[in-house]
Amino acid sequence: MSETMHDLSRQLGQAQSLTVDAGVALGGFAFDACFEVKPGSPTVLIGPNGSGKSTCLRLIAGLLQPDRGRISLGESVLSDAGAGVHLAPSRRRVGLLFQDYALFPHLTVRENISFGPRVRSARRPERERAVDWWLARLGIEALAGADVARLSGGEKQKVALARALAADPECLLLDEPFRSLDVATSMSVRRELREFLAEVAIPVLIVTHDPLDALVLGESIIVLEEGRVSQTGRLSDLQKQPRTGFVAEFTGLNLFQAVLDSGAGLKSAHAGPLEFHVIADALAGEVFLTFAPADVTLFHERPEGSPRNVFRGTVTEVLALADRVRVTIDAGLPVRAEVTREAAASLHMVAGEILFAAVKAIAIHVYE
Amino acid sequence: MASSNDARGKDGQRRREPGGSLTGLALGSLPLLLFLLFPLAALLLFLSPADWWLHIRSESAVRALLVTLKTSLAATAICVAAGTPVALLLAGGRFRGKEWLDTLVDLPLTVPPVVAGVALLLAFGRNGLIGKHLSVFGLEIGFTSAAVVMAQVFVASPYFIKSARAGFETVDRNLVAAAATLGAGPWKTFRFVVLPLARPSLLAGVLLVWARALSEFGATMMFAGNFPGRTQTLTLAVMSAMESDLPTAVAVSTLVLILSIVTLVAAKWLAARWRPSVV
Repeated sequence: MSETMHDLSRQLGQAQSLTVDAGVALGGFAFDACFEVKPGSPTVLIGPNGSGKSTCLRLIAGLLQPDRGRISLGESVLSDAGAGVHLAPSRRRVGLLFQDYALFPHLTVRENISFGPRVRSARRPERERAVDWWLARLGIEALAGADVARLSGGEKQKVALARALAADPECLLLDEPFRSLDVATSMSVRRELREFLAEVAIPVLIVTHDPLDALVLGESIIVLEEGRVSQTGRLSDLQKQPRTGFVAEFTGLNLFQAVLDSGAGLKSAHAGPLEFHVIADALAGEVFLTFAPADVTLFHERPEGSPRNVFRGTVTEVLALADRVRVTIDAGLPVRAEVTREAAASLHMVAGEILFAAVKAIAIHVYE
Repeated sequence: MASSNDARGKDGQRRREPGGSLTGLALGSLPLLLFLLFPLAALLLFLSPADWWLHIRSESAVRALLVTLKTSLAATAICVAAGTPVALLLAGGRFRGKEWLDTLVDLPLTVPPVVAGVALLLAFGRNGLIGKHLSVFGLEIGFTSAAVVMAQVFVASPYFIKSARAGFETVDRNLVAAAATLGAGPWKTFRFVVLPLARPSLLAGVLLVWARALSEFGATMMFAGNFPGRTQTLTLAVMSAMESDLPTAVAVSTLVLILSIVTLVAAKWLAARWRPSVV
């Protein structure tokens, strides 16, 4: 077991896809979805509150039984409503990272992580080896003996991740992994998690309501709305052709990785060829910048006025949404702006046009 | 049982009492508190320690103590073993008839023990509903130490079930689900997660059941009778001794009182101290 437990080193070829094609009715709510989660890079399942994300996780983990369809991991069937097959949660190797992490309060960090191997009757030396390996892998050796109640949110997340992975799952589900963290810490935790999950060879499904998670973590994205999959694809596909208002909403957000100067007051953040002016007194070094497309104003001539950030670029795409128009400008990096239809018409916004995009410094959110 | 009588708010400041000043309330409470304390003091002060030791060593007292310890410990074990599934059932999800089950479990708290004793006799006595079939096989329950245990289980079981249920209900469902996704089946989840987290309430329940079994009188009297060395427990020995030997009655009463106080204090201490920390 100790060899397979270190599944980070497991060959990609051995990991198998998670396939969901199942439905369940819960009171007035109907969930029915069909999608695949491939190993290799995390898939993000995003949807507004009440879209059935938790239902979906519970179905995969076996905590809920589908009325219709089947759920399988490679060749092995986890649930098959037609054949009456429903593997108990303890008998399917599906790791689940709970929103509140659900660490066992009566156990230490080490005991929490060794819970999986212990209930699967691994011998003590094997168990200890696996725990040590995961503690080291997540850089939390110092916490081994700690009482879980004393951990910070980010530490709890790492312990929960180590605990889930030490049980040697064949697929990993993360339920709103950042909801229990405050915004300031969750951005750096997002980045760490992304780097960590990139090396996990099993299928990983991250469930979230937060567009930032999709932008930072997700290469492939599944959008869930009202219990149904409304769109799937890579982020760039979704940005080009959003099929619903919700998809348009969350894919519009501008996100840049930047290096921020230190110091107080207005200061520079360099994102590749772009230089932003932002306000973020407490931060410096590598950061994320986000701003809403509605906060970007477009001009034909370089504007004179209060916006500190003005970028010159070529219109690469004009996308008509239900109540507005999204214009993407290539200013070295793509910057997305949203304007009214009237403005789009009067400014003659078509692909190839040269425009100036302006953003106020205070409209830019900076995260570590 | 939980220390809900804590008069301090979260910030450590004393909350305002709803009925007026603390001094006024203390004065108002005094009559009842004194009324409760005086008889207990009278009981404790009646015999000198030397006299107490003399009478508690009497043959009837020692025999009653042995019968009581044997039966009350057996009754406690049965309440724990048979009551745990009931507590888990009540703490678990909703099901039809849950309210009725809950009421049935609580019933022994309000049924007078004497009535419970009559009911037990009519069910398990020699001519009882079930008892008459058992006596065909030469199995007689009435007026044996088994009857003492049954009487104690009947009246004491709610104390364990209520306490255990409260303990099980405090265990976060997510922790149970987490254990399952980590590979623990129902038994291992119970053993490694539910049981340790509910342990303080379970231990408190054990102590309360034991205290109630120790002090059982009415049902035992009716169903098991008062035979020294066989069914005569401490409380029954008190009643017998009252007719002829007051010092022995007082000595045994004092012993029962002390045992009750110790178990109650221990149960309260456990409930207050071992609260599972919230993560």
